[in-house]
Amino acid sequence: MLKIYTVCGNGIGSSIMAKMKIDEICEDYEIEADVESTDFNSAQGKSCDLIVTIKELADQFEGKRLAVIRSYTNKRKIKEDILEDLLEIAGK
Amino acid sequence: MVDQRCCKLMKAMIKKPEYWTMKMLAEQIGVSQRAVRYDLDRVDEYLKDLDISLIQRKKGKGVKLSLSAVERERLNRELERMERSTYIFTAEERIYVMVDAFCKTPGFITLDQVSESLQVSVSTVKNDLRFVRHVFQQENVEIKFLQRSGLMLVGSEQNIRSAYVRLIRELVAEMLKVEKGIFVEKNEIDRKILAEEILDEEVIYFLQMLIRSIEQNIGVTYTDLVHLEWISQVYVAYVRDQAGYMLRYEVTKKHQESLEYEAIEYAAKIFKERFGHQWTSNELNELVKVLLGASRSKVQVENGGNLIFHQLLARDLIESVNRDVQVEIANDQRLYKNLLKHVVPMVYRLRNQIAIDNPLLVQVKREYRSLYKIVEKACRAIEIEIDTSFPTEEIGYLVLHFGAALERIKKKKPEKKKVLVVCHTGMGTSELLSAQIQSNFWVEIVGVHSLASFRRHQPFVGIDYILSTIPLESESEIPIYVVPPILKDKEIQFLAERLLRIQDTRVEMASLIQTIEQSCAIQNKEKLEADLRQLLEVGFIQTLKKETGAMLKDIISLETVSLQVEVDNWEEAVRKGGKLLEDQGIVSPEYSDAMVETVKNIGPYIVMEKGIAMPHARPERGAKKIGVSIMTLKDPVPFGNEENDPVFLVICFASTDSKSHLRALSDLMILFEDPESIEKIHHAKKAEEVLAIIEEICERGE
Repeated sequence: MLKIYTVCGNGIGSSIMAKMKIDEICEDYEIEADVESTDFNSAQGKSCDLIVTIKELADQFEGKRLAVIRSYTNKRKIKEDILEDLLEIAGK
Repeated sequence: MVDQRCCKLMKAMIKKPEYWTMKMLAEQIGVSQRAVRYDLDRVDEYLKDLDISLIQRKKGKGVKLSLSAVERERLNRELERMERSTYIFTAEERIYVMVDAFCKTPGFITLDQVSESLQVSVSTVKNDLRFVRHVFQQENVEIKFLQRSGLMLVGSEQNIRSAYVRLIRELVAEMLKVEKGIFVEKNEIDRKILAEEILDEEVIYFLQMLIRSIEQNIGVTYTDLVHLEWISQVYVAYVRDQAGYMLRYEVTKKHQESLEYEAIEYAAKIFKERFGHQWTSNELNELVKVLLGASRSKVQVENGGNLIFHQLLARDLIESVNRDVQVEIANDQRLYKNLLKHVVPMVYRLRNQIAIDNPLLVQVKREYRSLYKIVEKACRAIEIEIDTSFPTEEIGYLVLHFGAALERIKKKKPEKKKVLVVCHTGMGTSELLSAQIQSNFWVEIVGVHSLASFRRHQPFVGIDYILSTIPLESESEIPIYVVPPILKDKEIQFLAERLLRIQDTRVEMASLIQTIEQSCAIQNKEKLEADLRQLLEVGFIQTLKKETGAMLKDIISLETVSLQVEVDNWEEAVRKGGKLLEDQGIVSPEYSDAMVETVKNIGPYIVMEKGIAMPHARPERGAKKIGVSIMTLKDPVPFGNEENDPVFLVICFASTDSKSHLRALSDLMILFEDPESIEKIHHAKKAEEVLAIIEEICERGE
């Protein structure tokens, strides 16, 4: 089971929307993942397989596997941005 | 001459006598537009021969078949007649027909024979043969080719019959219209046509009547699946017998003493009178097996010592599964009763190695993955006891029973956990804590103590948890959690892992209204709903299907919609959106500052889609309720988001925690993905129009 965090500034809006979309993508590709949304500050201390966030926040994560998304809501764009990473860490 | 495709084309055009474009027709028939043009010419020729009005063609509009009522009826009749005589099977269908031909034909069958009856070339038949081989190979039957003679099946008669049963089962289901849902829909085959082609309708219906009379004779009712199995088996036996093949093998176990045997023997007599086919004792034996291993919709009273064995087995299974699932199912009487009913025939099947089909297996394994593992483990543990092994199909059926039990538990309200609250003085802070706990969790506060009285009253009994604002030393083993007097998200999360969150036990408005309706006549349902909401001041579950919580339409009102607002810059837009929420008491003034801060600190990521911004802030920054405001801007302003600027739609939202707005968020997502609705909101003149669109969006989310 993969652990994925979606991160935005507050952890209650955009990142939840992204979480919903990533849940869908994981289901489409039969990837078992626990996707959780969180705010930027809490994300720092969390251990996980992948952090999904936007470029504005991305540089502040060090030593973590990151996928940078252009949109929190557009499934097509999210898929383009994370699928490669997702499949790789899922070992597919 | 017209073919199957042309017929399809004509049928579509008769059904909808309007102009069709080439593209529409191509999609309808599933061929290229070029093929459609070619077919249309052939259809024209055909219509001319029949002296029926030709296809009308109009540039820019397409083609149309406009017929008089008389013409239409004639054409329909012609098409029907043709369909019967010249139906061309699809590749998939040919496999069925070929398997059937192999099973029905005495001795050898030649490629030419097959090619002729299917109206396809010999090379096509050769190609199809690969798939036919595969069908038989699943039952260890090979197709052997002999020069000058042709093709023949090589394998035990029992295996050949199994392969044949496997093939026709779904067709019998189609013909009898039972249990069709368990077979996967296949686009490539038309089961109805195949059933008519392959099965002898008279025999099938007669068998259905027979099994019903058998039921009456022995006083049980079998499930449709058993009917299907039994009818298919008798039918196959009949067909193979007609072709001259006997079932020859040593019967290891006789079932002659049972009630079922007698009933079937009698049925055999009737069948012989009608169709002249005498079932051999081996065949009779096979058919009794089907019934003995069958599940019954009504259980018979089992006699003698066996019952105790079965009871123990059911108990064992339940207890073993109960150890591994997180909830208590051992006392579920319904589970026990149903399982017992299932276990009796199951043990019979296992001991006699009667395979049972489980069309739900894949689904069960997917939906109840962990439960499947648990049940499998339980099965393996009792395998020694019954001296046999469980096929996955059987495990799958057991999982269904346990799955049902778990679902029942979900529906039941669990008991409230008993909680003791302790603080330094036993006043003030502990009251505050109690109130928060009670509004968040499904608990009963059994007492509030000061540190001193806590020490005095030790030890406590019958308490599940102690919550304290100060570190405690306790003699008992009751878990103690030290928490601050005002719970934050973190602590609530922590407690949620131990206590049941109250939002999981909220009432569904619909069921509340229903309950009221049972005793009184409601005059104004909407008003009652609104009043109840206000009176109870608790959230209602709108739907149990998707995200729980309030829908978007429930947290937005005419007052929080503002249209064609004039602003100079993004910050003003955010503040005006925040003000709408503030005026309704949804947020405190601080909330707008926090929203602006977010944009300044982390950048304009809140511009979610082209032209749409969704400012929001953390719950603790002044959110009092959950709410949404919608604002369209007269002149769009940039937020600094390269991709999606400028913004014309500002949707501010506030939530008091990270969960209760999930449903509304998912509604918003639906809105974002619908450019048409966004456009409508953008140009809306009245707030009512916006609410109507939101309402419609929420319905889609149901």
